[in-house]
Amino acid sequence: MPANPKYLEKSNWQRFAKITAGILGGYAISLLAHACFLRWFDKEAVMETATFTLFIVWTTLLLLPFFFKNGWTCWLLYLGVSLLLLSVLYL
Amino acid sequence: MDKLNFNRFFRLHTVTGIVISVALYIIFFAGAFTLFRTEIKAWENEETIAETTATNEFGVMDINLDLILRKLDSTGYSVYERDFYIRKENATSLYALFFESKDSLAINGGAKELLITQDFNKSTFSIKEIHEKYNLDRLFYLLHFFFQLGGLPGYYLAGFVSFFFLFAIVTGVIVHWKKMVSNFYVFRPFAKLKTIWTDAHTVLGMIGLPFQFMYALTGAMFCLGLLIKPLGNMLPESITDKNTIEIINNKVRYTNPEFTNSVQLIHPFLDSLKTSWKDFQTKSIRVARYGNQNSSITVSGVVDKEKQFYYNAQISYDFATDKITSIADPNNLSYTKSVYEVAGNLHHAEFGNVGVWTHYFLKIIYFILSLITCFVIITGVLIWLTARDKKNAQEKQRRFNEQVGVIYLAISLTLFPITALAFTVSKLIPENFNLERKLILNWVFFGGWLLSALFFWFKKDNYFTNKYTLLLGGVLGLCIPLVNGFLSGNWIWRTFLNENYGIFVFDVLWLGIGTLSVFAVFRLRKKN
Repeated sequence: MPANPKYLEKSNWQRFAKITAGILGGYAISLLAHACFLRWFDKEAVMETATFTLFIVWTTLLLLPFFFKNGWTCWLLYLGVSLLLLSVLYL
Repeated sequence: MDKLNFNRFFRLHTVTGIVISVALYIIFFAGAFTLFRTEIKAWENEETIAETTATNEFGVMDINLDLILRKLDSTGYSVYERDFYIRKENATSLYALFFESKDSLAINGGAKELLITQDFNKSTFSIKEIHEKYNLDRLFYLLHFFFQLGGLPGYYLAGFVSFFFLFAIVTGVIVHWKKMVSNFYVFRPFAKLKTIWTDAHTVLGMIGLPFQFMYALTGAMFCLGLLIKPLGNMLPESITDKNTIEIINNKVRYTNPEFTNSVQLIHPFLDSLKTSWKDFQTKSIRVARYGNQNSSITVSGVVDKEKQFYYNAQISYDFATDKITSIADPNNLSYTKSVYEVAGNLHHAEFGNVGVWTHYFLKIIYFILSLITCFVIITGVLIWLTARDKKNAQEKQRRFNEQVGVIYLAISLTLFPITALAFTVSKLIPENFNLERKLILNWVFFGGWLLSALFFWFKKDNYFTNKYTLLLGGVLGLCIPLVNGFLSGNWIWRTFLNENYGIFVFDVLWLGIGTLSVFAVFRLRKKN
């Protein structure tokens, strides 16, 4: 039994929004979140930990947009979180 | 979880799975054989894998490397100012690769590959110019990250396949979450095919879950290191590891161009390593500008594999500044180095010196789990295919799905017989054709793969593809120990009695695979 098409996203734009939010936004947030740790923890240790945790966090963030009804809301959220992390990093 | 999300994640799992399936199948299949890299190389070259007890630098010879280099210099090879790489080849010989000399006046200064072999009376050694034999272990190793697709692009492709594999694992777990336990005990071997595939897919996927998760993660780690790099730009300075070993300073003795008569560089350096690292065994040495005062050296090896999980040791030393430029000291491993060490050991199924049989037992478990993963991938594609083979589906869509299924199976399943063929051919190539080995093996493997995949594609019958690839692979696989026995005299019983376990295990592996495949073919029943 394939997934019931009645529940699947029909708009291609919505699909595009969710996939890009997951891949690009997810990567950006994952990277920035790890970068924030650079401020307080041993730098090499953070870098080395990131070699695997980056992908775990990214996978989770790749999954998250598909819980949203509207993919663009998710984009907005991801942008907001990225900005927040950037401000933590550089302010 | 509500219906909406369930269906969405089901869809995500299906789509990611289908997109990466063929690439992932190739990775796991080639990777399964890469687990036996050392054994394949020993098998092809008729060598003994020996962990000799270290009595000297490499545990190979009683002559120190500086003496060998001096001898080389006196026999007409230019050594001074040269960059070179030396590694242990087998129990009695060293492989040396000399890079082209920067000094244009140097005699015999071109790039050279040498084999330095200890003679029987143990006090002398012979030097032979060679061309490194291209072996299948290398072909499979490179294939398991698609290096043949033009190097780095293939490497990144493998990395992204790994990453999306991780994603597919997570979505798969979400989709199966509710029925994970109850479905685990479901076994319906006499139901219709699609049910068997679904059961196999979920149960074997469940059994292989930790294994697959580990490979998805370490695969992404190794191939997508590039994505971590931006973090480095946010680093103001890098911190070097604490030095934990003492190096004998030989700078004084090391500035004279007439080095060939007096100077010892490598030997004392390795000696000082040995006092700091107990039971240190050198695996390879890389020297830049030998004999020059700006020389530097990198030594890689292992320490006391029996007692510890961290055993890989590496040190880089700069003679000009008398400083250790980088070090991975297994006895005092920093967190940063240990992450890589753990990931590497898990990925390569190397858990230290656990004894010959435990070692091979682990490798075979890894091998079986890899093949199980291949099976999970194939059943996934088959489920996808049959689930869409409905009467009410659009004709065009059905055609397309069918084509995808046929092509995917043709590419994936032909890999098995072509692997068996490549090993047989590799053994049949005569010594005189060593230089052409790479060409021949690549043509046989990739050309044969393409041709057979095309053949099964045009045949358009998945049952036929499955049956005949299994049969061909099984029969050719059974030929492997035979060909090896006839050509090299290394019959299974003989390698076992000679304690040449590397070759023994590889032959037995193929005997097992071959027997099982042929057995499976006779148990096949056609069903729609």
